[in-house]
Amino acid sequence: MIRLIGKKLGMTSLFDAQGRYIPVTLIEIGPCPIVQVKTKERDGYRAVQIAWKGTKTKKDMSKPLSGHISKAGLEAVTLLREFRLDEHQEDIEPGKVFTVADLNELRTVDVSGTSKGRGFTGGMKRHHFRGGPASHGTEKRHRTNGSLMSGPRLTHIFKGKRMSGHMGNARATILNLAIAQIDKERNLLAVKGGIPGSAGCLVEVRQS
Amino acid sequence: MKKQAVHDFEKRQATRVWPEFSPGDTVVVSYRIAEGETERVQTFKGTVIGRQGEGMGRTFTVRKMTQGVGVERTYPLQSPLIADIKIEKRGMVRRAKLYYLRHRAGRSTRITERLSRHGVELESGEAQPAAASADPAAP
Repeated sequence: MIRLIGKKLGMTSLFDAQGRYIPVTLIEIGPCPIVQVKTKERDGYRAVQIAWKGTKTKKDMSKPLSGHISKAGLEAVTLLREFRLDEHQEDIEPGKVFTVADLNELRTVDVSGTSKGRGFTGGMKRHHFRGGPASHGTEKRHRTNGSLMSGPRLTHIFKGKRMSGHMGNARATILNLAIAQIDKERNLLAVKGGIPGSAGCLVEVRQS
Repeated sequence: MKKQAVHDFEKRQATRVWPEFSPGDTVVVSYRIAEGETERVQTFKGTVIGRQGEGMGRTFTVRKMTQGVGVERTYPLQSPLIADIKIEKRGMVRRAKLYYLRHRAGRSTRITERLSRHGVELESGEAQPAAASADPAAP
């Protein structure tokens, strides 16, 4: 299980050898240094904590965080992420730095991130409701939910009833994105298709 | 706005370099077509009536008349299937999209040939210097 932190750069496209046009998302990957290796004996579970350096400086670090990352020889980090190691997986050296080259032998990855915030949205956008008729005398009911309940059940509205409300700005994962290209020199990964969030968002890239 | 990093990536990907051409020019496009196991090259000669998009998605449309029927083909400029683009004739036109040609037939579709641009004599089929480029976005 390999997990990396990356930054979504935006979308573009490529041509494959057969001349097919492939939409791709560019992700700047790592390099992600290991901050801490958690062991069964000390922490109760095995995991590796990795960092995205990003743009934050030493001034932005709190003292406890500064102390934590200084053990790995780092001055400032923007994001920390942890991933578990399986029972049978070998230990990972604390000094290792994960790069896009670690994805080299993979065909597909999963990408998680925070989706674009849509604010308070209606049922049509949020749950693909059909709304009301556009004409035939309809007044002010073009994009509404319609009835919430009817018949003998009509005592109260069930919890979880799909209505209008906040949409987006939540963790979203896209599974099995094909790797289109890897550029080790520039730490770039191109995956086929879209990923959550806007350009500039930090995302997690995992082996799928 | 497109990020600089994406822009740079596209620049590295855009490996197909063709002689500079613009709407109004008469070109011959050689396009590779796979037929089962084998491959053949199909040529298509016509007038460039427009260029669309940018970066890797840049395309151009070529129009010709075949047995009285107008045929248009749109090619991606960066497609690896394009074997060659040859410029036969440079055309003098005053707009970027020559869609008006669709409503015309016969002699009225003629386009005046352009022999020079900015005082520089043009030679068909050869890459033009960057200063004479009509399209700075083209790779």
